Amino acid sequence: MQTELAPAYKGTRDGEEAEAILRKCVHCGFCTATCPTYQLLGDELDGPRGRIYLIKQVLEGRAATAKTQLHLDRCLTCRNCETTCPSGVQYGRLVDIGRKIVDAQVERPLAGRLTRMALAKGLNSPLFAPAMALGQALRWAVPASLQAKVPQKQEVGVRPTARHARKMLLLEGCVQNAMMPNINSAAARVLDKLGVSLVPAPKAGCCGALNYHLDFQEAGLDNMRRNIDAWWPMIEAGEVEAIAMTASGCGVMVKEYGHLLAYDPAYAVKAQRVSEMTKDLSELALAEEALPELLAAANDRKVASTKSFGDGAAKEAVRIAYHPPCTLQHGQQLRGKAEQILQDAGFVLTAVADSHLCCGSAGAYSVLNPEIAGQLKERKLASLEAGKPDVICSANIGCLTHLQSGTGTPVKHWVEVIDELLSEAA
Amino acid sequence: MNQPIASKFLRRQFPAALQDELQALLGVGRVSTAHAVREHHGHDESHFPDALPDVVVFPETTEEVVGVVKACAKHKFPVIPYGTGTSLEGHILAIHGGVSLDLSRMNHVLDVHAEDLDAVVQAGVTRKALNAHIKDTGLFFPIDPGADASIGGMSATRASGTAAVRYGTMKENVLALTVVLADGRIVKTGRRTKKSSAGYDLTRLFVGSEGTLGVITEVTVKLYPQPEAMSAAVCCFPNMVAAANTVIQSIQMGVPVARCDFVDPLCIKAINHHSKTTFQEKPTVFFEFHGSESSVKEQAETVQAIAADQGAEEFQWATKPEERSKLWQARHDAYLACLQLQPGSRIISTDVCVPISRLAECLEETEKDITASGRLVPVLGHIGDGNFHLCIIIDPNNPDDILVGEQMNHRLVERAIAMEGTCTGEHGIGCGKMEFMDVEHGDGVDVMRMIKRSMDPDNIMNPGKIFAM
Ligand SMILES: Cc1cc2nc3c(=O)[nH]c(=O)nc-3n(C[C@H](O)[C@H](O)[C@H](O)COP(=O)(O)OP(=O)(O)OC[C@H]3O[C@@H](n4cnc5c(N)ncnc54)[C@H](O)[C@@H]3O)c2cc1C
Ligand code: SF4
Ligand code: SF4
Repeated sequence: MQTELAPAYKGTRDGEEAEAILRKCVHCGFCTATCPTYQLLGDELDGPRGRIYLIKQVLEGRAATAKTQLHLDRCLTCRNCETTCPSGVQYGRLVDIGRKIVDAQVERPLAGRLTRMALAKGLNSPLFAPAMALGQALRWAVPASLQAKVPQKQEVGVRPTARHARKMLLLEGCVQNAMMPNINSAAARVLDKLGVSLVPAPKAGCCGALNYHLDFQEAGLDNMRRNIDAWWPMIEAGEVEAIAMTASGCGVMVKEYGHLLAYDPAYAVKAQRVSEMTKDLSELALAEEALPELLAAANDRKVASTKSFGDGAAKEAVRIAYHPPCTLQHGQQLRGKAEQILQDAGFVLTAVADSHLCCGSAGAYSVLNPEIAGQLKERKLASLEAGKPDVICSANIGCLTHLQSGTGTPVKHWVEVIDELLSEAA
Repeated sequence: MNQPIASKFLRRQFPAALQDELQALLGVGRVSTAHAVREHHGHDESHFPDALPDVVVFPETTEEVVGVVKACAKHKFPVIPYGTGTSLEGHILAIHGGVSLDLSRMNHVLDVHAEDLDAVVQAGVTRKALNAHIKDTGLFFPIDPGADASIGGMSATRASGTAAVRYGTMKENVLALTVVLADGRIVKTGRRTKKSSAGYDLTRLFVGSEGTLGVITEVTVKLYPQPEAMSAAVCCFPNMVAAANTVIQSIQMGVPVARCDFVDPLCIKAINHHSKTTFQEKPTVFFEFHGSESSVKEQAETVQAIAADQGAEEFQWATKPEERSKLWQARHDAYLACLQLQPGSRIISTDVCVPISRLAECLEETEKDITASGRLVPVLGHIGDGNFHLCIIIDPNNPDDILVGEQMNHRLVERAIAMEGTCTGEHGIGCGKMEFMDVEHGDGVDVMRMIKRSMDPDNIMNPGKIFAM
């Protein structure tokens, strides 16, 4: 659609980028039908096409209002619409730009500002881990509403030493190591068996997504620069092949570093390189030739796949319902990889309806829009549990904790399940 | 010239009291003045500039529609029925200002009479929603314009689709209507019977009336049994005329082809890019055959023999349901695909229809015209009906470009009318084709004006469309 940029945005990077994206949209509305918030709320302005019109109108110089902001806030940024759109409209980029411009015009009420700040800073802070530990220790004393967000303490197991010549960097992430520390160590153990050592970069931290998506875009860019600085020596020295992501929410962000820092002369080239080297764990594992054999061998010892979930008696294969995170299937356009690994390992994947829909976690969304997030969670769990799975698997920390808070069925990262299988079989 | 200029001088003043009355009627939530909502309702698929309604309302029942129309009648303020806004000739533009009456919340299938092969739906039900609803009855509704349009909107534009060659257009498939007139009266036209000789055929008067005579709130449509066997095929031809000749001869021989759509190489290129398909970039016809196993085979063999005679390549078959639906979805999205040939462009979509015997001739002359113009003009169409479209891609900011495009459309319409054809086979007049009404109908347009005046004396129903008063 045609957009007449207002003078304030003409010639600006954001304005021109948004205009180029809007130009591709033919307002066919295919995206609207698949948007989870449109499905729940039924208002054109709570669907992608409506939001696109809202952003267009602000770019054309109409003042944004609290209502404009509300409709943009309600968007999950799940980017389901982007997958649906046949015209290649990059909605995710557009809504980032739209939010930045709208937030500059419309000040949020104090309470909202504080929550956002607390989320961005709190989850990012080195104090988050100790706070989480406290929450876990005092789980019984925490009110139910918050309890849901504090997962049970996990057995972590040992991380292998970096014994292999082949090395990859691992983004430890900010919340994941505090909430479900076993994911990263499980990933390290699985890759270790495939002949690759995962090495951390102690100075790296949050990928920047929290800040970037909570209106602190500059602080987000600083997080990105810090990570690049932390990784660069090893990248430059050619010591690492890739940067592994165990949370798809972080993965999608790091894959965008190149785009987001393209105009920072000091970082543009490095950021591009970092994005190119960034891979989701499922991509990395599936690319390893040794994987099928390893899985097949483990699977042969059927006992292994039953013992850790059931009552110990050898029985049928474990049933898994897999939820592909939006940041993986829509954000990174990676589909079917974790599923294939699980299937190759002999697990039975149950049929899950509407697997393209968001679970409602969406980063900090579930805290900011608990009602919509809760409804989406209920729907998602209903379709996940329809096939009576023993375990629910996913690939992103946000989805895992969000889903677990609504069900008694164990919710795990797929690599934890693979790790258990391989460890049992060893 | 009959065509109005969408000018701000045409706009009627929005009566402040009307806004309050509408809110009292529907509540604040179903009356919107949000700019983004008005813009969405003041923008269609034509190349005309946007013309925003003053307010958009979302009624849910026929009675609420009556309330809205009566309120507007009291203030003599325009009402513009709005289905899904996919029409191509500026139909829904609020060139006089007005209340956009969005029927999307009237989306219930009211009754399915499987034994009588019909269904009664609210006007906002879309063609895909209806088919999803009746999926398990073994019946289907065959009319499929490329967009997922509303049944009310399709009735109002007398739409057709890829299967009209076999199943007809909305004209043949609407049995009865519930309509709210400009004065707020409700009339039910027609019965659920296959036929009726009782007086004037009011159903046919409202079908194709483009919202200028009343608001359609319920539609009774015909349904058809799913055929026992279906198969679709793609066939490439050495040129457009060979493709047309194949289709003409097949129709003349009485082969009951279910669908046959032509797509030219440029359009195929756009489709491949848009729908990630891998069709050959050649003049192509998409065929579909319905019937019993043996009759499908027989039909296909006959058409294949005719095609071979015209120098066509072998048929590429799509027999699995998912392959077939992918093929037709790609065809349905062709218009959107063409828009992406030049992002930011708009399309002047021509829509002439000629008697089938003149089709090849009309296509051939048109092809010469396109070549001489040196422009990007994909050609596609339901050629089994003698109907085809040029997608004249234009830059909406360049008046010269628009003019050249419109001149090409003019030449095409003159050509078609000289061949006893019509300026529009299925898209309708809107404000885009008003100028052709006199040549096509002569004094007939006056008769239409008399009807309009007597039914809508204050000209509040979608004013400025079809013909100037
Ligand atoms: C990609 C694409 C492909 C298309 N392919 C075809 C095709 O193959 N064949 C074809 O025939 N058309 C086609 N069209 C055009 C369009 O889809 C049809 O004209 C369709 O019938 C419009 O329906 P709608 O619900 O969108 O109506 P709208 O665009 O909302 O309205 C169209 C007109 O009908 C009036 N109207 C709508 N609802 C009512 C009602 N309930 N009561 C009274 N008046 C009403 C409106 O006032 C307006 O004048 C295509 C369009 C697109 C974008
Ligand atoms: S599907 Fe794409 S082109 Fe269509 S309205 Fe949505 S964003 Fe625009
Ligand atoms: S990102 Fe998700 S929630 Fe937001 S508009 Fe797109 S589909 Fe809807």
